[in-house]
Amino acid sequence: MFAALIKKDLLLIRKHVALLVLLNVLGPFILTLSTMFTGIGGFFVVVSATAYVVVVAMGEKEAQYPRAASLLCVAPYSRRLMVLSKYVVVFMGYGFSCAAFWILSLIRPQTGGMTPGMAVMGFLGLALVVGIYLPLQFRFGYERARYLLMAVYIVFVCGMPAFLGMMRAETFQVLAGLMKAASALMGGAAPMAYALGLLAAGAAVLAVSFGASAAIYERLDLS
Amino acid sequence: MNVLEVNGLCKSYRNFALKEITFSVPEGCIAGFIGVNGAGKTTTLRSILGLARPSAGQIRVFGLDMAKDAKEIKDRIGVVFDDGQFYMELTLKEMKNVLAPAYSSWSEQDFAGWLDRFALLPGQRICELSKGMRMKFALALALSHKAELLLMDEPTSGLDPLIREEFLHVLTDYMEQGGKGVLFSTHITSDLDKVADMLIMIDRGRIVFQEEKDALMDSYRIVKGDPALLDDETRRLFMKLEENGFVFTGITKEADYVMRRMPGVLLERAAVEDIMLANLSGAEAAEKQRGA
Repeated sequence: MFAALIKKDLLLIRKHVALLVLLNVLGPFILTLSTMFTGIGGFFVVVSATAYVVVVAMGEKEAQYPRAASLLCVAPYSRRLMVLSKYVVVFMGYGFSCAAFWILSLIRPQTGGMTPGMAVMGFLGLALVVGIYLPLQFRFGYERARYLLMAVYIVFVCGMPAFLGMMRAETFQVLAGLMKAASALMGGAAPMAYALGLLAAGAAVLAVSFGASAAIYERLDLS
Repeated sequence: MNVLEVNGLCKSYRNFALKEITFSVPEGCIAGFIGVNGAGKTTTLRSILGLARPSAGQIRVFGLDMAKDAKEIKDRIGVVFDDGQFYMELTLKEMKNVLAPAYSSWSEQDFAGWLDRFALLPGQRICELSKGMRMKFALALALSHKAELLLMDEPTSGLDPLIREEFLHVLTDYMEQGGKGVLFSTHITSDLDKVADMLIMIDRGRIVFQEEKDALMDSYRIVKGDPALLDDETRRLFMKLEENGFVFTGITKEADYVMRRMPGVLLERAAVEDIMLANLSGAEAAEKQRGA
């Protein structure tokens, strides 16, 4: 039953499959032309671009057929299940990116290699972004959520220098410590407990986000 | 036994509200849900189906509470919306594959039978279908999981008379299986003249009447006669009255008294549409009186 909902979301974004394959296969190759985007840098670029395409394509299709969700809701599908399928599809895209990047890094070492730590960091990063974006999309709809995300991004980019300027030296030390730990994790030097902790943190973010999205969608009046 | 019971259903929007909607659909009955555009038919159906959250009221389907047993109820009902409400770029087979796993009694054999009867091909894209074909597909989906209650929102709106006729045949075939019920919202009342057993009328978010169609149609008469017969007292016998220089046409629920009081007038049987329009006029007049 749940598989049918996932299949539906995959069918709706099938026109973007070619783009996703290009992104995940050609993307890392192209990124190796710049030393800045090898390894973790390239991996994050590919993962975020893939997640963006998947989330936007799914949102766009639901916005294009706004009343189709009603037909699913009058079938014995629960709204929670319909929400869950969106999260699962995004992380299926993430799984695909990890697998593609790993295979590519074996074929072409210039991509910078792939470690389990990179996958864990990517999972946490994606969980944070998707965990914030999807509830907004369920609450405000695809169009408004996209504008909201753009506004947040602009505020983040413009506000970052001012924010960094206000930070105290101790805060920088904490951040530097975190960065060091992250880099140790990605290099495979950090203890397993640290990786598991990050995975658990990502899962917790997703659980809270899913709960919020499901609560929003269950209260929504559908057309 | 009632397959559907709606009690005190309320739902408010900024410019519109359903007020204390109460009606029921007995087993073995095709109930026509009539009213003009914007009367509240679709909002009522959406509230029954849980697409809109009612602010008050209780909905029971097959004796079960919609608020508690939604999954079981939805497994036993078929729904047809006015435009199908599909993901238009999917094929019929893909759309079926999305919906079918949700139903415990889905029958591939029934579905194939309906597609065959409606001359639909599983590989066709939904966006390539005409509106009539889309409605047939919606009906095929609604009828392929042994649904015991069909809820349909304006299913014949915008369809040509031939497809409407076929649609109504399917409904009567469905009812012949026994133990079923249909709630059929429409503003094309001629369809209900042919198939409905019961009529429920809604206007401005309120139920105006719920009655058996034959009894209802027996109680109304169209009266035509010489305008000279009209005076203050006889005018009050009509729910709706139109006059021109030579003849008046009115609709009344007091045919016997009209016959005695106005000899020589011509009486005709009223159609569902006449009854609906008469009740709209009646409601407007009552509202004006209340305002005054």
